[in-house]
Amino acid sequence: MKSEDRIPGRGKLFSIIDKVLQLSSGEGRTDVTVSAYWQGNTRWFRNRIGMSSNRTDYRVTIRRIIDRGAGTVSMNQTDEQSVLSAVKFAEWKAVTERKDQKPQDFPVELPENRDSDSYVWGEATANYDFIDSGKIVRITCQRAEDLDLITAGSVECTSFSAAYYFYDETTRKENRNFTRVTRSDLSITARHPQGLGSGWGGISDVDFARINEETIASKAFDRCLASMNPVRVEPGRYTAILESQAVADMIGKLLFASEPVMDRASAEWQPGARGPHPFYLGYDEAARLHRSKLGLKVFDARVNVWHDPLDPELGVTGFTASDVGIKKVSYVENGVLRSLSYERRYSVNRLEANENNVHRMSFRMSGGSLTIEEMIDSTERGFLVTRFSDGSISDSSSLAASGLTRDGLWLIENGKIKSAVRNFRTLESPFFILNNLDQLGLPEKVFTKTVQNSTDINRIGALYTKNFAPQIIVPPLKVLDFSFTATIDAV
Amino acid sequence: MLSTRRDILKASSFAASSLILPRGIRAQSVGGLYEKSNTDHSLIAEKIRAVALNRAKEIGCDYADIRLLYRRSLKIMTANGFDHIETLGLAMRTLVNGYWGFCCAPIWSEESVLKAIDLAYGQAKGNSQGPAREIDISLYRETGESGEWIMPVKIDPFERNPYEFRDYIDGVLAFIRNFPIDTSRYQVGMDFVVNNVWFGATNGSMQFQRTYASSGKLGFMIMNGSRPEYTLETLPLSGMGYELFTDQDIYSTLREGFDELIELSELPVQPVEVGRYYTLIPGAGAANLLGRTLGAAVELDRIVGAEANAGGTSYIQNPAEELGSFKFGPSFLNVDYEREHSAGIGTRYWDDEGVRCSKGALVESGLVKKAFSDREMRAYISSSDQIATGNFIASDHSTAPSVRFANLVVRPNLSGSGSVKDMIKNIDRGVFFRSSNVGLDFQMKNGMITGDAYEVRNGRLTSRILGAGCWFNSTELWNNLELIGSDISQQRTAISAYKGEPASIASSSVISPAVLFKDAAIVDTTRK
Repeated sequence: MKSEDRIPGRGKLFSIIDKVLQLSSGEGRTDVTVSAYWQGNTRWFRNRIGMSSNRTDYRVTIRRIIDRGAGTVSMNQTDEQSVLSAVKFAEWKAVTERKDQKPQDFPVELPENRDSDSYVWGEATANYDFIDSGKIVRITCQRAEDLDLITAGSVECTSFSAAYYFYDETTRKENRNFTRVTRSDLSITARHPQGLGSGWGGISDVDFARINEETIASKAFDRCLASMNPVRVEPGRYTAILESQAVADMIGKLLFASEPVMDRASAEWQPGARGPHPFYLGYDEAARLHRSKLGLKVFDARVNVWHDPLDPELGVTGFTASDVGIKKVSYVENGVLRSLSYERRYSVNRLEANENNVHRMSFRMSGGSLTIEEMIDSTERGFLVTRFSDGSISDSSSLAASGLTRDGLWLIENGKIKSAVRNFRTLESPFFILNNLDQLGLPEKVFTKTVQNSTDINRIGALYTKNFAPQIIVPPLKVLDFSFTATIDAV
Repeated sequence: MLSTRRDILKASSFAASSLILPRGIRAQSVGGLYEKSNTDHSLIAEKIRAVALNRAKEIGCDYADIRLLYRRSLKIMTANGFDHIETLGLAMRTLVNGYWGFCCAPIWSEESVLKAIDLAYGQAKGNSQGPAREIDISLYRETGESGEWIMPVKIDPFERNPYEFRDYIDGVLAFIRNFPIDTSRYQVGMDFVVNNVWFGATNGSMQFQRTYASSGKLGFMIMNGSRPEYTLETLPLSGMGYELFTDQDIYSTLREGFDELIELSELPVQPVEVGRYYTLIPGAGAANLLGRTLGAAVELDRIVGAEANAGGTSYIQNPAEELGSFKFGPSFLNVDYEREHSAGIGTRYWDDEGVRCSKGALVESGLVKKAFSDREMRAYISSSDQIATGNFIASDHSTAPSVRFANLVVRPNLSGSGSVKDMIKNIDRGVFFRSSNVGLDFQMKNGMITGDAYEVRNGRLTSRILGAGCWFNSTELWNNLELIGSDISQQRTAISAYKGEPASIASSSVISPAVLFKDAAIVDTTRK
């Protein structure tokens, strides 16, 4: 089946929007977002395919603002009667709701119409073929059986398209945007039949054609075989070589991909019962304001973190319903905190501007040129960590979080891997990690799993956040004095 | 005037009309209230279901089933009024030569469902080119049950004007604002969902189920230094209607919570003294702990490795040998499972493959007796009394079902005087987790309880402990269970967990009295 048969393109989505406009009374302001996704997935366990799935859905979100009252309706139907009902309901709600919409909630100047489909679209992803993926899975399973291993895994391809329309009757300004994006994920877990070892490999990419399933499978198999017969090592502080996946598990969800942590308004708010925000600086008596650490050096000078909506490898859309044009943003430059996200209301009240700086969870971090092997060569004693799970925060000010190593942990001595090690519970802060760097490796893509099920219908559509995890590109890191606090016997 | 779906159905045969069926959402906004539309979803669903199952038989599926979902969601918030979301969808599952295919789509029409089943069949057929996969097909040829079941609720929230809920929230907010101490960081909200599901299978099952989900968020925090926050724990995600709010005296509960908060906030604060202590966890926390350490661990798909790359595995490794003899707790620990439990968020009559939900003992005298299973997974247990338990659940039309633990009930110690206060009085030295979170490893084996912790000395709370955590091994902790509280301390909580690929979420209720553990390892979660 061709990709155009799987998700609608610009013409189909705008025909639905035009239907909304025909049925709307026209007064006030009208926001409409129509999005659609298609997802193909093949999942396997115990070396046999468990299920293939083919999923499609729509999301139509209509927001009407009449005389400063707002009404929003969201649904997944596109026929005329449904659209009529939704428009009428949104207008009724706009009229009957409290008139509390403020001018600063709306953009003053509209960006140009924009079409961002060419940046983040992978044809191989959109045209994912179930027969081909079935063959890939069967070859992977056969390789596992030859090694007496049991595998479970998933290959997933998703394409997403969205059209956004805005019209303001007062200014007679109109804006139309369209975007489409793809994403593919492959992850494989290999386990010893008696549970004596476990290995994992995974990656996410815009383009399925760039994913090498043999390499990912080999990683999982090799790690599983090498993780058997682990020795017990005393907990303590050790040098840790964190593979890129482990780095993303630590600094992604906890720091740069976290909306509350990267929120400027929260960072400039009076500390509450849970202590100050990680980027809170203090109270400025002269200005009578709470200040954040913007402009201050907060990480090692080798750390640079940024987000570019037009980055073809990050795979993100160039707009959202609440912010029609997202610019490139540099969060950290040479260790200095340069930017935090904020909403329009904040920029009007505090920055004398009328703009959004919406937080996008996808990001890139700069690195060096070292390979993992080169990092091991220069390590006297330490651990090589594949990845972490369960990053629950213990201290919201330092973002110190407990985590668990999994799917491969090895002891390094005198520049060589000596043996597999029993897993550890860890307790570490991403701030500590990014200030105790010894070496940085070559940045690479990692696997990111969508775990949120957003119902925030004012965004570009819940479908996007529901089905797309952030893309993260980070280097492997050699970190000094990483805290491994207790051994665990889970494999 | 627009034609309604019923008008069209009246005017033409289904074969003709189904190709052009409009799919109007229910909300008609005339005169300030929802007006019931004439849309008859049952009529359309039943006809689409028949088309789908006939097609499945024609093309040679060994088995197929279809779910049609019509969901309405209402979210009431403090600042933004309310959001209203409506969703329609259909999901087809096909089995061909031991391999499954799945397809879902949003549109209820003959064209859409035929496309869906052809795609699902094609996927299953394609996958079956691989090595033989053993599924006991005979299980699917059993004649399935048919019927209709509607979750009993007292007040259907979708029959009420949503502004009534707004008034309720405004009243609660005004009440909280009148507390004599600044509690300006408060959160108030309500969520209501109704799911209508039409299920059909080639084995003859034709079912309709309507379930409700309601939840509330009422919480506040004292804005003065390192003080605890308070969230009302009697409004968990529940299989109830608006009566979740109206059947209890919220104002008295909030007032009691406020008084408790003032009392607790005046206690001195101290760092953690690491060691092994008696540890008391009230009903809601105990329910959460049990659901995560036991409920998830006895989901058979985790046990056999089907979730190894997603939700995780289990400390139970060999179900055929371990079920019936696995010692999870002391002899006075008994846990029942029940999908029809009143007010349970996991309450169903049939699961999402049409199997009648069963109930029984999950843990009897401390021994694990059962694993939760669907029809396919049960083949991994050789024991004859392990049947599909009716726990194959999908979160919505866009996800395939997976095994989910049922509502669980920890039997209280009826002979004891076990309110939480009574239990505190009997502790010489220990730790009390007033509210708690549980983090677990990927094998459900090791975990950490964190939350709002207090030191207990000589039968009373003496100080608040900052950064305390209880580091545990699941079975070791439950085998160190010293006491289960009486029904006075019983509380219900909802546990939601992600599973599968793509990940989907589903919830179950767990009801438990307060529990007291001995020799629990208390650690400082902030100390490296």
